[in-house]
Amino acid sequence: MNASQTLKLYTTESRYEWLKTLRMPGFVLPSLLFPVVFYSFFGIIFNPSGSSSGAATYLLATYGVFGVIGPALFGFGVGLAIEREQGWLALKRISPAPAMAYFTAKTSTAMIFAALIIIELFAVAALFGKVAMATSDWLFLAAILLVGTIPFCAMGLALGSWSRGKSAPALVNLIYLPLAFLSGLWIPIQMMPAVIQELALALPPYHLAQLALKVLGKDQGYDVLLHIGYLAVFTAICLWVAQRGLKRADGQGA
Amino acid sequence: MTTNHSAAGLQVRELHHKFGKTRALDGVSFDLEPGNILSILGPNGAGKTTLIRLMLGLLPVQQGTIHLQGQVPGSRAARCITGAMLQETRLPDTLTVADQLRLFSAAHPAPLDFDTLIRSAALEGLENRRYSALSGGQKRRLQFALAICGRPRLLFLDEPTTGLDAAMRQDFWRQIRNLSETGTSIILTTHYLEEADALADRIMLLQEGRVVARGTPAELKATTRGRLIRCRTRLSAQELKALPGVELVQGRGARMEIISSDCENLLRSLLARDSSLADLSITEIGLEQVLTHCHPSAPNPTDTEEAA
Amino acid sequence: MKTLVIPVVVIAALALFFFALPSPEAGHEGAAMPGQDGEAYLIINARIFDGEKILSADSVRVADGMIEAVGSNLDTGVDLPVVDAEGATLLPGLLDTHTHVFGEARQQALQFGVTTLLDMFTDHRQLADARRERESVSQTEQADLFSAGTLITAPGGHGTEYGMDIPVLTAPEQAASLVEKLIAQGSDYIKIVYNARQAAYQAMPSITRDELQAVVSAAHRQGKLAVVHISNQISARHAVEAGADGLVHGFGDTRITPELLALLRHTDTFVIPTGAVMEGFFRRQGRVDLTRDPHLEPWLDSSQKTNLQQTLGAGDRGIDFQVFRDNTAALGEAGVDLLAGSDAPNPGTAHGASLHRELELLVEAGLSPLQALASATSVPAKRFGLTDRGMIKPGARADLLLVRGQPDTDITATRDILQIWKNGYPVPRKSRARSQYARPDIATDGLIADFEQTATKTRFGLPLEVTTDQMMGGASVATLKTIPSGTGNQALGIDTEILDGFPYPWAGVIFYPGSAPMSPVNLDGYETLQVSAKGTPGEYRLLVFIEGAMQPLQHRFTVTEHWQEYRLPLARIAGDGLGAITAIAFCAGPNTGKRHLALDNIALQ
Repeated sequence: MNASQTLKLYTTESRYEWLKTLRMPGFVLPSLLFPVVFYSFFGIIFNPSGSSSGAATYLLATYGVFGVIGPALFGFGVGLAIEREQGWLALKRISPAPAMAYFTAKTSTAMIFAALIIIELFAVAALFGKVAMATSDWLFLAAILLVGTIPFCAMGLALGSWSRGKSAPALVNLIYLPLAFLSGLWIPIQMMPAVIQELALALPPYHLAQLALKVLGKDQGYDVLLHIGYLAVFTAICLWVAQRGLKRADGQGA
Repeated sequence: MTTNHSAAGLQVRELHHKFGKTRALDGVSFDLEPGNILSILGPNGAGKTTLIRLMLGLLPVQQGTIHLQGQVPGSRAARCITGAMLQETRLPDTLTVADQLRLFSAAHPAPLDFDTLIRSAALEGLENRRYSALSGGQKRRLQFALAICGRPRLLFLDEPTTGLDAAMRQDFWRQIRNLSETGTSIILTTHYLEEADALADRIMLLQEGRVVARGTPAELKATTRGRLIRCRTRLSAQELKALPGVELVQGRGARMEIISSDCENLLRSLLARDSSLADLSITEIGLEQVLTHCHPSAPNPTDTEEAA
Repeated sequence: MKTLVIPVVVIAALALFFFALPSPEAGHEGAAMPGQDGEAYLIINARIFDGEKILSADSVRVADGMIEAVGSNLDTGVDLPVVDAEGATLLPGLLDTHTHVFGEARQQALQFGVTTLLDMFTDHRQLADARRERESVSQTEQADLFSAGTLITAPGGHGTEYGMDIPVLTAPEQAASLVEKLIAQGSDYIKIVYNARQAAYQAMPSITRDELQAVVSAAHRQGKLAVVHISNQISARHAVEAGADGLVHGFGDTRITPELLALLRHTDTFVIPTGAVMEGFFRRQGRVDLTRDPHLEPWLDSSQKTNLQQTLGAGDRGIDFQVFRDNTAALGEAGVDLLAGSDAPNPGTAHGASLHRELELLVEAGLSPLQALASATSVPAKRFGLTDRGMIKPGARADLLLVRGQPDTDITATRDILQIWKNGYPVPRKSRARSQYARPDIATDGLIADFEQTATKTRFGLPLEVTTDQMMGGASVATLKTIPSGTGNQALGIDTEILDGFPYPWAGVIFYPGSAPMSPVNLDGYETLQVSAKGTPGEYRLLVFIEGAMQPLQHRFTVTEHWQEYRLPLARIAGDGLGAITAIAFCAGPNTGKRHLALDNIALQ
């Protein structure tokens, strides 16, 4: 295959993955609405500091993280589990398309959703939350959130390669929601008990949130490399776990 | 025996496969000539699907060898020349027929052109229908279209007609024959002898991971022809088995079913030994009944390899 | 064509979107803030609290460091730079009426909108400068300082434990000369430490009631206020009866009697309850951790954070925080003037930040948010005779605080600071979360000292020194020498003798990692302090000194007669203070006796 064919193949895969996902209201609506609804409630309407934009700005970063990891976990985790069980994944593996095209398509779909969520959140924050930042900061925050979906795509991949199609949505929710809370995505981490603050250090969303908060100068002051290093190692572990999971599924003849 | 390996459509040699401690395949070997249709026949659990998955590269080969036109299963070169319909596959509900065809065609270096594909899979007018809105038969036709969209040299069909009605099955057979005439080698697994009979150049009978019989449909039917005798008798299964020409005995209490290759002689000795024998009926049976009746010990494996 | 159009449109839309997102208004960012260059400007559309009430006027004109005009529509027809304060409340810069100003206190306080500090005991040598600075309207990053200088107490009484030269009183006749001496040192008012002989809790010696009376009178003769440190009801009554102008603490030993309330009203004595520090001392549970407040945390430096998380080992002095708070409420209800004071930087408090907590505590005790705001602005200004501050009125100093929301309904809104002006100049607010101190030049092995050449040579910082309680008037001694180590090399031998003299005796060796004694360095990233030690078996202490903190942090470790490797958890001990370490000491004590301690290969890891 030459480069233009390869590119065409990847874009076709991504295009249909996107269409496939976009036509699922059960996925699209919660993914696009929950973060912005939660953010509107807790960051703007019930803002503890009244009309202050401090909390609205802080929570923009954390709800941004909450928003973008949702499609990554669900698109990959639930999507993969179901497609694996339905035999669609086997069909894709038989076809000459490289496996990377399938994963790239899923990642790019998660990223497009992430981009939409970011745009929504930014618009709400700017219009109703009185959040104001330098243009470069808005862009930088968006970029961190967008790139930050990748470790969670890997995490979704790991979950999807081990869980059953039917139980995958429950499993992902069971992990996603507590993870978001304990990582300080809903309530600023400084307001959490010390035990949770220490626990948060072990959780991947915490590290992405800290990177996002660094743009606003509202992080807890750890080194950038700590967060990036953590997320890189976490991604590698997830990929390894996913590979094991997919091999195991083969071994069972499923 | 074929000696020119690369010319052969498919070669399988001494294939063994285990899932944990369960033996799924136990020394399977066969060849498939280009343009031929091989039907793998066998009950559930015989190893048909495992064999297909190995040939497609979905399972790693544990022992033995598989060559698909000289290629290793799972390699990109192998995937470019194969197509498959797998058992119990569900496609994404939200993609339309056209979406799915375009998506899969894009992966192939020289796919069939879209209209030809639609026509050859009889999907005209369904292009914009989502998978979830298709009938059972339409879904099968779409899966078939996905299997052939890359002009495969080797086509694997794992129980393609299960659940289809007679008319649909006939349509499907016609499509397969057409394809075979264009030089595609086809492997087809099925429960139905009728299907194998109607399509296959060669049949391979698989039981518990072993090839228990192989040959042309005619050969197989000849070697496994018999009669089914049903009756009420006071003779025990043990006593019945000792009689001449008995292939198989099964039954409960006095009600017995006997398969015999020498019906007339058997009847003579039966009547002589049990004067109270009643409710006698005799039916001629084919391979299919043999299969459904005889799980553990099928007719003696007839080595037809020499004949091939 | 079509394939190109779509990406181009998407990219253009995204670019438009991002450029349409709001950037900070000039009014809220230091860079373009009017007043930067000392020019006149207007603050418009503000809700204005003038120190006593919310005004109907909405604009303030500032010129030459002073408030020139307060009114509505000041902007019509004039061409001045404007700060649009829509949605925000403008307050007079806050006064913290009970502080101790050491080190960075004045910068720290100003970062939280506290523009004036009333000090209740400090090093008087800084007062001449402070007086000059507070009379000027030039640009500054420090809060103004008024001070009691040192204080008057009994020999060995409260105030003497900090190792400074404190005027002590042994007879009423000395009162006049001591007061004169303090005034000469620059005291703006006289602070007296008094504990009644009848009080249940007697920690330290106190001057007598007669002596108290004499000092108050002497101060008044000199035209100075006399304020009294008390910690219980009986002492409070004596102080009021002696004519004190104010009490610089509330009390919580017993519920305040109606008689004392009436007396306070009658004599018009003010009280600075200092709930912010009391809370740190006596309310271990349910204490609010200010380092978790997202409006305060970014502006706290590491030493302030460390200090906020400490509690003073005060023990039970018979004070109940609930009683203390009820007393504060009763005082407020009776109409006694309450003044907001934090007593920073005592353990559990931080300059600036703790005043905001004090305001909240006053509201919790029953004051209205408006009264609480007055207690940190107009009331203390009036009581201490500071006519140029504490009010937003023409002629007052342009010490201003702009906060988001309405602190007159939600007092915590004072923390959500949009802008601080000192002398009319906008004060740049810098996130202090990361250490601003330099990292010392530490080799990769982290070695501090291996004693191969001398007993005191170090790889960075200053040479090791003996440290003992003699600096606090104690009698303990220590000597350093090299001794052979177990491995044939040399180690440090420390002979110590702890002797009676100072209540918390120590003796040992101290290491200053900076270029001068007690100059802070940043040791962020180091986890442990490694050391080999042996010696007279028993407990020894590692003391870690943090910039701005009153007490060193302690870690105990047990030494045996044999060499042993210790990994002392420096990062855990110092916490946020790791970025501002001023000294590290290994000490014996507090038990008396002779001990020998040997140390080798001290290194940071």
